[in-house]
Amino acid sequence: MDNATNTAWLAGMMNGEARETTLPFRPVAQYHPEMDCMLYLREDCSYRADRVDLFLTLLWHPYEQRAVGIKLKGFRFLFEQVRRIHNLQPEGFISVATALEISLAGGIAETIMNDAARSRVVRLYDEARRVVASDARLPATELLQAAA
Amino acid sequence: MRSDRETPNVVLARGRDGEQHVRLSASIATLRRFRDGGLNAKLGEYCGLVHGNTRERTANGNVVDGGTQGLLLATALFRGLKRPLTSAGLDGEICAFISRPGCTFEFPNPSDVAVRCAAPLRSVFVTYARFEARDTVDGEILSWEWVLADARDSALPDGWDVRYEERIW
Repeated sequence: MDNATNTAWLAGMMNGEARETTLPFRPVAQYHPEMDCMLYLREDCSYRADRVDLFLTLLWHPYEQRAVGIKLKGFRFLFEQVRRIHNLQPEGFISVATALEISLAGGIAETIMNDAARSRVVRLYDEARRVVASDARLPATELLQAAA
Repeated sequence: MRSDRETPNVVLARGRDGEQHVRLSASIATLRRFRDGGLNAKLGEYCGLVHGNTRERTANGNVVDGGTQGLLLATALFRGLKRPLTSAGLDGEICAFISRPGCTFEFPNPSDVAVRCAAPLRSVFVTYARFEARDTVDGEILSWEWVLADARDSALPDGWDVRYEERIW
């Protein structure tokens, strides 16, 4: 898609002119190389980001106290750990749940916390585990292309 | 002053000196990724809160020139994301514009214009950008999101004093 087409698409969104509709939402894991993070969302909404530690941000529903997704930051680092542990092949997939567990280990190891802070982190990681579907995964090709 | 709807991927913002206006281009890759994932709320946030100059459908069904002043509403700018271990060089370059618009925007009908919704509770809006002059722009917008507000200062993100390297204005 060239720049002119991109601009036309955006202009259509803002002006209400005939435009391509977006694809239907489905729970999605996306890697964003510009921010080096993985975004996993179960609902299409204006989530509220809650920084848990260096790696994990929990995403809350905009108006209700329930998690709708997670963001894993520094994802290239996490990806390298998953790749090393699981001998990941280019055509393989990265489990979001596995990356979450590695981020927990890394985050706690890197942060000096008092008991209250540690308790909060553990509680929010539990919340993150609940929101991530067991089959949520990301194609390794996206990460490999970004790392190339 | 507002961003021009004729250039929907170019956003006006206050620069690092807090005075001069700068032109930032939105990352097309980011927008495409949101579109391909069906993330209409993220697209609504871009149109109504980052660029700002969007048409919107009102509660009585009319389509009007609406939106907000977008990134020009920012009241604080920070530099550097504190994320050690990962891409330290990149994180140090990223800036965060902080605003507190009283609403957000969504696309409940993906083929229609945006609609205005209540702002997420106890939150501020953060737009991530990198200043790097090239062609006709002064930098690039990388992403955006609502972030929980700080309990001590509801106009700033939670833990702003440990989250960023420095406050620019």
